Amino acid sequence: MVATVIINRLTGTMPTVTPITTLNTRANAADTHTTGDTASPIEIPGAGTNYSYWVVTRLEATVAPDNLIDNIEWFTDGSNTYGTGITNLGNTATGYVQATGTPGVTGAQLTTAAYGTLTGAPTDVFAHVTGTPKAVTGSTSTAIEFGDRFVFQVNVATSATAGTKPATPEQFTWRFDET
Amino acid sequence: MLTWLVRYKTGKEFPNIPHKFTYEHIDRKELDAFVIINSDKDLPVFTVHFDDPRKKLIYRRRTEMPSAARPFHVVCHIIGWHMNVKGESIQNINYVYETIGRKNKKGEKEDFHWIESAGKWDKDRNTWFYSPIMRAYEK
Repeated sequence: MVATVIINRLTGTMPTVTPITTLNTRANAADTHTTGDTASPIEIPGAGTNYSYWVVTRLEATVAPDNLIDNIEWFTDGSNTYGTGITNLGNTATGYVQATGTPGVTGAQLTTAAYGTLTGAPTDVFAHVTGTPKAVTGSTSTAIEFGDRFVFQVNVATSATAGTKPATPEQFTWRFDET
Repeated sequence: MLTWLVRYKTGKEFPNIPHKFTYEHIDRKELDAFVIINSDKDLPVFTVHFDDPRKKLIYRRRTEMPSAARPFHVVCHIIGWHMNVKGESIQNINYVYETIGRKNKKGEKEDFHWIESAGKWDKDRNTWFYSPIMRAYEK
């Protein structure tokens, strides 16, 4: 049987698992999934960098494959359209760590120290494109959440300008093999 | 939607039956042809013939998940063979693409299929053309 696979965003302490397969999810200064919340923006800093709460995403098979799902990849379209002073850094993680921060101001910076199961220091997500994607460790033969998470965070510098960024949501893609 | 069946040298055909007759159940020594079929129309879309005992079957269903911007799945059925000829690995890999849940210009749901055929794995030629993780029974 062809597996049914969805994309989840993980938030909160448990964590709360929210399917976002064909939705936008907002990376803002709150640890929750929304498609269009404007109550918790990332404040443009007077100095240094402010951050979104980190966004944790993961695949889940709700219907098991015949044999196996493996060879998981994650990539972007390679184009940062956030505008001046805004970047997005991320990496894979073997576990879940809840995002923290000051709601409506900034999240805590995503680092290997703050997120202990991150597989390496966060890097520019837009370097991961379809031809050179980020390999995500993991596989499944059953109906379960599977594979490492991909965790990312929007970084806002003093040179950023106010407003909803980007005008058109960034598109991040998961890809996998199945038999 | 596309799925597959196999035809053995006996002429008998065996469709993929979820969890009962799966890719790993295929008797590779008896394999005569691997067929991608359109299950809605019950029609073959693409057939790979196993006319040389050295040909070893490779199949994957590769999926790109949908998103808010592209709310339909893109699936690539990777079907082909590899064999060893005088120490060299020869490959013929074919890519049968399908969209699932796509809407046409009239706004009606209409899935599309297209096929590309190539030699060895070559993601520099096409970003879909990269090697799967090979299973023990494929080597």
